[in-house]
Amino acid sequence: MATQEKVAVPKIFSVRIRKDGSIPVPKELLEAVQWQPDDEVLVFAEKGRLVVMTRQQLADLIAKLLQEALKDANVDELLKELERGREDEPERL
Amino acid sequence: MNRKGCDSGFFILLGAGDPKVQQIWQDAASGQFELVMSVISINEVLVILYRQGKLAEADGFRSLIYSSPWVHIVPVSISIAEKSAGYRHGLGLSTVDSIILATAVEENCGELLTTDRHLVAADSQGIVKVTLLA
Repeated sequence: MATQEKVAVPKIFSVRIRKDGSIPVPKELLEAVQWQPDDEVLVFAEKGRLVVMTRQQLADLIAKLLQEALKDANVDELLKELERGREDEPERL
Repeated sequence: MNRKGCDSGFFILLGAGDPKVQQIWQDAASGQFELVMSVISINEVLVILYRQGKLAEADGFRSLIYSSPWVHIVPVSISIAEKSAGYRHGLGLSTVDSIILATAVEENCGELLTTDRHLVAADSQGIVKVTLLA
């Protein structure tokens, strides 16, 4: 049991959405992600869930996603494929 | 805000970890300028991911790129269609190239970031500054 107690468990808070639509975020959570008052964060809905992250985090996430997707790809070939795909069919010109 | 047109190849190079493209991406995300992207590029990037068999990544990209406030995605409007016809005829560009170019011009981009060397003709004609990324 002592071992289990040392394991960091993500804390989940139950909060109530305010009448104006805002959602109170516990200070403990803000500190955990090192966000400060007045920091700008992006809030958007994805697959029925609310996602909150900084612009930097979203930019990194998109770049990482593309890197994972193309890690085994031949980039030069992809760029050529892109150009080839843009060629109009002669009979349609 | 300062705007830069962003062609499909930009995202391939972002996925390849190209340092120059990564820096542009980070600068845009930090609010230095907005990246303007045609819906045609959404199509092209998704097709590339589909062909790689990366369906989940394609879905993720689609969802996240729409949520990026530094990326402005532009549909093919009547004015873009008309302008692109002129570029297709006058510069000998393909339909897709001409739409990418017309989108950047219509959206007042100061620069077009591309990997497609056919678009360099637009620079030499003084239409828009074109930066070849690869």
